[in-house]
Amino acid sequence: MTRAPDATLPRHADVVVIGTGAGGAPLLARLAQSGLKVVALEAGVRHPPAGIATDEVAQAGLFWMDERLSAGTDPVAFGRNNSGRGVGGSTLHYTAYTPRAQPDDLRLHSEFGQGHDWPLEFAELERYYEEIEPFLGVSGPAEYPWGPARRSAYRHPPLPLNGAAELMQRGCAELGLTTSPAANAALSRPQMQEGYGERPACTNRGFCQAGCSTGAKASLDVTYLALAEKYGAQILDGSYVTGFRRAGDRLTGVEYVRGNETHFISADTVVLSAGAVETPRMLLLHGLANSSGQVGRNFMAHTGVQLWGQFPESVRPNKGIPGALISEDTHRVPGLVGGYLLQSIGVMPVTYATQYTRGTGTWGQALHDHMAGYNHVAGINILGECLPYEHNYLELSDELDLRGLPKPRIHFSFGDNERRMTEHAEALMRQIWTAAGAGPMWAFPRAAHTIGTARMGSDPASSVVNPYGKAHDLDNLYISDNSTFPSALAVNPALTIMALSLRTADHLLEQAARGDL
Amino acid sequence: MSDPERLITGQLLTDATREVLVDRVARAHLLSMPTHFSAREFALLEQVSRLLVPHDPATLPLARQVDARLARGDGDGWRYDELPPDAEAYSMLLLALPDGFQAMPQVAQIEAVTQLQRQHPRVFEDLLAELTEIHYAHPVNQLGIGYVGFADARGWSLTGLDQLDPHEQEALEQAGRQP
Repeated sequence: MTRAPDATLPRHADVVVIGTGAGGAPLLARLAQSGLKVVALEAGVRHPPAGIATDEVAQAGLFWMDERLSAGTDPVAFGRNNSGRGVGGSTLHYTAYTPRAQPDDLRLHSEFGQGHDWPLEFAELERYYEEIEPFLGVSGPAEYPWGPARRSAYRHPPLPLNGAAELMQRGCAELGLTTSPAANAALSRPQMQEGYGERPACTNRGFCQAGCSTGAKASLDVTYLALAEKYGAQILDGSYVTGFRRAGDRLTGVEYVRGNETHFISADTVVLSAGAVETPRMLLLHGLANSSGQVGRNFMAHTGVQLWGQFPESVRPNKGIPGALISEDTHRVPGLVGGYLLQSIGVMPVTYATQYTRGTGTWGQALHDHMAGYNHVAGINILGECLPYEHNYLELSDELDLRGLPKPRIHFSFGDNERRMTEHAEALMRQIWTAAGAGPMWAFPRAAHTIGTARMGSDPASSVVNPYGKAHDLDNLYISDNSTFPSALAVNPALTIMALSLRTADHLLEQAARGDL
Repeated sequence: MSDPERLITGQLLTDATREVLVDRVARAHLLSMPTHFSAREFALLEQVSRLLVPHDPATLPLARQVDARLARGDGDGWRYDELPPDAEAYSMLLLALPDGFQAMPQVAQIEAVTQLQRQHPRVFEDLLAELTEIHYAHPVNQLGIGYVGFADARGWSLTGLDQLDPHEQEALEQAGRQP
């Protein structure tokens, strides 16, 4: 909202973090708490809860609206999907769905001979999951049926099931599939948040994807960033990074535009946390960290086919936490590499209407006739593995944006595994919805989340960063976001991005303690 | 004051939501004359818009909203790589309609638009989605499908199947709608 006057802009920081989403914010807080001078540069502005309207169009400012070019046979939608901008990044509009990855998600290649293993053990993520979940105030079931046994319960009981969740529970029970209330980083009970104050319990508005107006959802502005600022971190909003200065194998600082002025901040360490599109775009634009030629490669997006049905019952799908129920019974499916999770989904009206037209091509009176049944609509969708392929990558196009910078072009086409997974999932979801009593149904094939493009690995020839996120080519550049994921994981990425963020922060602190930072 | 206006200007909406919706309703039909499209293109767009998303242009002129958006240079964050920028793509689409389209009887127009969708699926999809978004973002059209989600200042306590929340009931009554 209010920008710091330019005279007070910092000229130096121990660590400059670019981006304030799930990758940047936890690290920023950890380093600030340890007494380092840290500054975050965020292209977007602040969006405090009280200013959030219950309106999809009005909230478009939460998204990255600079144009991206979507190529391939399954072009990925950006803008209102798969992008974020603002203090808190994409967590401002995530649904707060926070399942943990499972250990076998990290060993896809070992298990199937395809995809890539992670260069770290599950236990290294688990200890951070255990720290992050209660801090965010995740609401979840007492016993979670899948994956390794939890060593501690979720801090809060699950959020109430909405209509879609009840229907999925009913349909899955008919088919003998296990379901559970899902883990969501939105509060079922009030919680004190250090640096912010009391966050209230969720009021079931159901508009998580357009921003939370109460602070019940754990977007990172009301959690890790509030903590970071309490400990002295400076967050410069409206600050768009335009360049890096370099001396040999070290970066010496970052140039950015704020208002109409260009500024420079020197830094001992730079952390890039701009997401799997803007992070590789910056690396390619400025010729950084790409001796492997892997920057922009391995772009992945979760298989995310949705099935929508109309039911005799009234659902009112705008109410309640959107993803209230989960099943991970399909975490492994014979014949597929990896698997997927199933979730019930609520939906806001404009999103539903536009998806319906895009997905079915329906227009004219038939469109209005369908929308007249909005209150009876319920959805179910998957989130599934996506393998990295040679043909899926991000490059700089020769078309320039308003800043005069090349627009990114993202090539994405499902491979055989993604196509078969989508078919398997759609058939299963049709069975579930039929068993639950659905009338007319329609499927919306889609891909969700941006992953890969700056892979983490031990071998500098085939990866961009090392297992702690440090660029192989530079001594003091780290990447902390979904760019570094070696595989997509069959779960929503935010919780794991945060876990990696804290892991990188702890690594940086160890370096600092040794005097190596 | 009409029933929908009473709801939208009332206390069932948060300040932030009320400000947005009151402004949207007030400004919907106050747009200036088209500035982006040529007169011929705009006339075609108006006609196509009425076929794609039937509406009353006096309340919410969808074609003018599209024109104003293009004149502002706003985008939605992405486009199909195979298409030129939105403005160019839309013009191409409209000019691909057969000669004499505007004078055709409606049955023939519908057939021509169906052809257009087949021949230019991506840009047709973009235009259809844009018109649909503008239409269903208008609170009166939202009320028309029984939606009162914007009246959530006090939140919802009942979220399950066949559960009308008391606050939803109140909003529907205020707007003069049957629950």
